[in-house]
Amino acid sequence: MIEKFKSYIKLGSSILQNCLLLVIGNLGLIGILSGQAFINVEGNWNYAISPIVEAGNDFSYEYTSNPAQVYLSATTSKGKGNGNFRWSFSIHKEDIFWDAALQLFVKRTGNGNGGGFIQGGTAFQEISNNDNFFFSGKKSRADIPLQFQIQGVSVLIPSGNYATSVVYTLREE
Amino acid sequence: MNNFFANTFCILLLICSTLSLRAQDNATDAHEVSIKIPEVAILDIESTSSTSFTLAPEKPTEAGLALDFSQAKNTDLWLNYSSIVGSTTQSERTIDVKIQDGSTVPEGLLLKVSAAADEGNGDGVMGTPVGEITLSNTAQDFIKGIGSCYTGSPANNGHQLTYVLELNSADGSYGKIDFDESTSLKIVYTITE
Repeated sequence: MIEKFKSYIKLGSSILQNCLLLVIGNLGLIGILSGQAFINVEGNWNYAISPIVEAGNDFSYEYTSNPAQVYLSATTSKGKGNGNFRWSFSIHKEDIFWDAALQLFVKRTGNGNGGGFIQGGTAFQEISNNDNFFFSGKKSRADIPLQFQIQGVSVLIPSGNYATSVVYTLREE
Repeated sequence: MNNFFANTFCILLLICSTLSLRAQDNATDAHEVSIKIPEVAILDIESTSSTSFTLAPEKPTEAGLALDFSQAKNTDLWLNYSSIVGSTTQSERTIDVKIQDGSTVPEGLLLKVSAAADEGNGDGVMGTPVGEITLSNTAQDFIKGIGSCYTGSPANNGHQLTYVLELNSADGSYGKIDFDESTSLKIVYTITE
């Protein structure tokens, strides 16, 4: 009976030791196998609509940013095998001060720098307040250029400064 | 044997938890987009030909008759405007009109102007013409209640203007007509800002 009890104690001790090893090992393994996905956004788009020069006219309906207005990067920590790094971006906006008549669009105008592949997102798609798939790729990729377009501009919208926050989510797949 | 089970259990747990953490790996970042829409309050006068014109009565063809003012009329000009109002700062705009200081209508005569309703080629809250007014050197409301809108441009958009030159109906006006008194007038339209 005592021997059996000692056996249970020994088993419990082994599990505790191994659980400690598990925590340490897991952290290391995450670093080695999984790595950490990093997202980086550079730039923004602050645009002032030019005044109407001909009385009787409306503003242009749409305005488009520079082709590389914002740069987006998806990278992983060095520990992980970069070749296994498959990722995707989703996008949505969170309005700060916005008018329902204004529509914001985005597209990817280049591939950025990196290996693997990148696909999707090359046609203008509306950025809504719900998160939607944008584009995906494999391996770390930096400086992916993005272009924006605003539609629905009109004198029928009160003058003012309209602002929204564009949020990107990087998912490792 | 017990150690074997303990080690196996922990290794399996290690693998499962690692895979679980990999599947949850995501990150977010954001930037701002801002669009500034400026205030708008502009107008202009458009015509298919020229914005200058001449009004004159016709000479009588029969001695003893008066000058004929029935053809002293012009409808070639159009008033176009674009406007954005502010709901709190200025909820509507007005266009007023006057004869520029320093010039007057010849004695015995009246120069009147009226605007037709907006032609309907733009969009928004168009203004409402007040009707025919007699022009003077004092600014008078001409189109009121203009909201955020655009009339379209150029001629044949917005409000068509009608100018008429008339004999003043006041007694003795005909006697004040002086053929040496032909004059050029500049008519000034202003939209409130």
